[in-house]
Amino acid sequence: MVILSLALGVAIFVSSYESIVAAQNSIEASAKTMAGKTKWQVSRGRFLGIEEALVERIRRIPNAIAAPIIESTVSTAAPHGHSFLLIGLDLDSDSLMKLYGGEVGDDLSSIVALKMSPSSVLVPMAYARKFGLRQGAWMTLQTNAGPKRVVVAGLLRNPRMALAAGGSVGFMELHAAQDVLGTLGLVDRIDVAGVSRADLMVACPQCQVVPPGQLSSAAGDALGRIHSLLGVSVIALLVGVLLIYNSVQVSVLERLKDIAIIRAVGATKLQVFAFLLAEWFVIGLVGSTAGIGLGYLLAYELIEYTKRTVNSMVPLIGEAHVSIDPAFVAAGLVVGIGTALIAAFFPIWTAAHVRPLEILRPYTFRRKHRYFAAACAGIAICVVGNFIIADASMSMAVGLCVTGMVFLGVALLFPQVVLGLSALGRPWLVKIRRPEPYLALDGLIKTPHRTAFTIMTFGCALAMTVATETLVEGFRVSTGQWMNSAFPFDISIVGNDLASSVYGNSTLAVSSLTGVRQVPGVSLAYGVRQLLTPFKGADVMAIGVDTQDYLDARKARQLGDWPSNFGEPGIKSAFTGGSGAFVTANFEALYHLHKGDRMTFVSPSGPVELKVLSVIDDYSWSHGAIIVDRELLKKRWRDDLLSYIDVSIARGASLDDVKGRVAIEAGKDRSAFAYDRREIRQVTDSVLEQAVQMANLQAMIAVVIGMLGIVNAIWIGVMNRRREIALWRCIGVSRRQVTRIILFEGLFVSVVAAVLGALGGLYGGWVPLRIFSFEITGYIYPMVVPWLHVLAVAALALVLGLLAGLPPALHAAKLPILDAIGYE
Amino acid sequence: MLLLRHVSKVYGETGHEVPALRHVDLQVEPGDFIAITGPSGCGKSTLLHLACGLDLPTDGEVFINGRSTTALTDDQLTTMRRHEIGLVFQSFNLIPTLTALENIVLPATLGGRSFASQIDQGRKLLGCVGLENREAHYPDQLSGGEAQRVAIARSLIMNPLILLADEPTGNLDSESGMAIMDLLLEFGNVEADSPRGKVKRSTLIVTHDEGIANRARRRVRLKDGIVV
Repeated sequence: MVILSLALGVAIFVSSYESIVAAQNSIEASAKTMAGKTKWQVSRGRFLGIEEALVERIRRIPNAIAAPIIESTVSTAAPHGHSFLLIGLDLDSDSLMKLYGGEVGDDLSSIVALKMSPSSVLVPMAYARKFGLRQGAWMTLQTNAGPKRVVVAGLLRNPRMALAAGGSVGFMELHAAQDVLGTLGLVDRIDVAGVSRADLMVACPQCQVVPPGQLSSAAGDALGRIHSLLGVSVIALLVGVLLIYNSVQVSVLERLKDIAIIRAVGATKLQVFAFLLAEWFVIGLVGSTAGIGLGYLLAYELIEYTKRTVNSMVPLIGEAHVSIDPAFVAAGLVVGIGTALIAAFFPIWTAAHVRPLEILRPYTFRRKHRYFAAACAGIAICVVGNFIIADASMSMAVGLCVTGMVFLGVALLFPQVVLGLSALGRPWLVKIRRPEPYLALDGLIKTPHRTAFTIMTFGCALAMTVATETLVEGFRVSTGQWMNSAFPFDISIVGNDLASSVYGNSTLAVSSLTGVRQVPGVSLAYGVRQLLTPFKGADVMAIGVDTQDYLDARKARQLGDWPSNFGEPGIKSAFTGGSGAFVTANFEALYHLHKGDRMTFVSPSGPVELKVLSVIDDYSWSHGAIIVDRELLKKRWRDDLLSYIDVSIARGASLDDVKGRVAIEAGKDRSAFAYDRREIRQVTDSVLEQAVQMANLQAMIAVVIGMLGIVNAIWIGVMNRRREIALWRCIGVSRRQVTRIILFEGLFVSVVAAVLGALGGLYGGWVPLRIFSFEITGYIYPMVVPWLHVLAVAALALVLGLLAGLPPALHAAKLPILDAIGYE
Repeated sequence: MLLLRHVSKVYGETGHEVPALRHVDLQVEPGDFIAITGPSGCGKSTLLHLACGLDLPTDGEVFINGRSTTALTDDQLTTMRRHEIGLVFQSFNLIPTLTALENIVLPATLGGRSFASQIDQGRKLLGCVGLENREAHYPDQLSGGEAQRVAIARSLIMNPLILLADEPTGNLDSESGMAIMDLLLEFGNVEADSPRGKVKRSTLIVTHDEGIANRARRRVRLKDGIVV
């Protein structure tokens, strides 16, 4: 059982680490391949576009190799609608060959076909096979300029660039791509080699010059969430450490008499210590080897969760494979064996140093337990840990260390807590007419540290589930409140299918808004544009709304002022006049800009200075968002597209009917998907659930480990008390009563573990809220206690505690009395 | 009160049988104080186990208050042990996590009586064995003689009809052993409750100490599993 528990602990760690690494490698491999020999990427942020003329200016710098690139995610038409990365390349220059080698240029016939036909695309063979495309087949792409038909001019055997977007990639000639995307004269970036960053900054002072391979904001966001799961696996491993410590304690205590005899016949302390340590080295080796194997098997499954989690936010991971890394296998062994040895060290040290006579003397069962000093140390560690946690600005690594520190503090404190609880509870239990409860309690406090660590093992596993749910509930409640207060519409029409990916960049034409307004059953419709714009080295979201229509929709739904100071003099005029913006709470926290401050954005028409008019709660974008009048985006960002059309339906109209009609109207010339409020809520909930699925899986494995810990501890307790149990039977304790006594032990452990799990989980939920959630998600959530989940976990704990107690209880009830009591 | 009729007990598996008792007949009447003596391995303890229902005979029958132990379920045997038989062991066998008083009261609470309702009776018994000031002491805080006195008090809490003691003085010095024997003689001569009213208690004591055995009113000598 110890080997199994150790193996499970190592498996959790290995599997989560390996699946995250596989996902990250997949993303980085795509980025690296896409970069080729590029040293710098020149752009105006990822979403503004850069004038094609700049390419020539850069090429005039001595030794410069510059290749303009268009890179835009579009979607393909139904029935197989999916994201498609369209890459536009300059085939007229040799820079492409110099930077990317034979990526596209090794197939001359394809190049010729690409150059001859203005609307042609090259796709990877694997992609063509998947969707039944042949050379000469037509594809319809949904772009910001509307639906565009392109012909498959050729199939590429195995382009490395196809690693991106899971192989859903097409290559076009640069100007043909501009035509399809409606971005004539603009490219997304210029890939450059052979020159310094300083030279490039001189050539284009307004540009961003960054090394290649940087992840997009959405990708970074998605990976950040996945990274946070590694923290969960560390906690799972800590649970494993406690279980091993507990098992070693049990194992050593069980053999104390043997150890005493070995010592009595002449073995030195060092010999006993070395012998026991060697034994646990072997157990660690076997357990961690099994754990590594199990971990890799589990990683194959977890990689699918990771892919789904990342891809639900932005389609980024295509093929991700778990590869066996000898260094990590060695690290896994070190972790497993190290964990076993660290956990075994103190019990073995104590066993080796105990006086043989003390052990061999009869009636040494009721040992004096002195945990007061350890408890004081535990309290001190917890206090210091909490002081550190109070500083919310710490890094995630420090946060994890502090979490481990608090964990250690509680572990030191808990044996004393167990003694205290039993001292408090026993007089009450004695008053009950049945002796089973207090006999069970006596059995547990015979070895307070074992009981304490069993409770901690199980409690911490339960705490993991509560902590995860606390985070989820905080997010769910806050986004729910936000959606209720900020979304006055009944239906929202978007250009991409939210079910496949939340952060698509498909758009709707403004003409669709006029059409939607005329659909029967529509009382009001307004447009919203969301675009990403560079700000202080990050991509922030600019949300443009049709202010008056939005306010009318709010009024119709009887929502209050938006924001609360909107009625103050000058606010509305500054907002609609384009001189001010509302910022989100996470924007304020990230960039330290408060109401009344001024901020300057880079736009295609030059710098745009805006005053912060108000701060609002909004969960649209983890890197912060500003809300402006849509006219401002039109004028200064030169963007007259719509990301959403929000619709309020007329009184008495059928929601489903109107939803169907507006989807048809908006989808006349491009893809459009209509969602009602309930469906949007489902999408956000499902993205959230995807993100925590892996954490929940890990937590459940930890709960299983915890449950094994209870079985282990109670079973060993029964084995240690065979004589005592037989004595009970001699003086009239029935088998049923023995069963009940042992079941009570499981129940007591699980009750205290449930309380610890609930409190620890809420604490564990609060700590990440303070430390990690802002760093990882960019949002500031309120803490919401998931009462139902806490109750469910408590109930689960009791059931599992009883189940865990059942096998040892049945074993105890069937103990042969005379054998156990040691007659004859 | 206690009747062993043609009782045999064989340990081990087929082909490797070890006979512990052979066709033993023994009748214990109310008020009897019997010492079972004999060398080590003669079957003394086996006889005691059969007499209290901890073990069942391979052949023959054991009747306790008229009921055959082979006809009773495990639960019925347990209940019988709890209410009708008091057991005293050589190595005291006190429960180490319970105080002296709690050890004494435990059998009474097993039947559903509250601990509080039995405290007075427990203290009274502690007084009878001369340990009034030891009620809150744990077994490891008692001497061997004191621990055995607590064990005797525990065996008497249910006022049993039969008192069975297996080498009760085996772990004690001679002075303590004699004191324990005094107690057993004292308590073995009292009246106990039975379905048929007040009946004198019967005591069966296993010992290899001739001095102790000589104080019994009747002696049964075993040799190689046979009453001699």
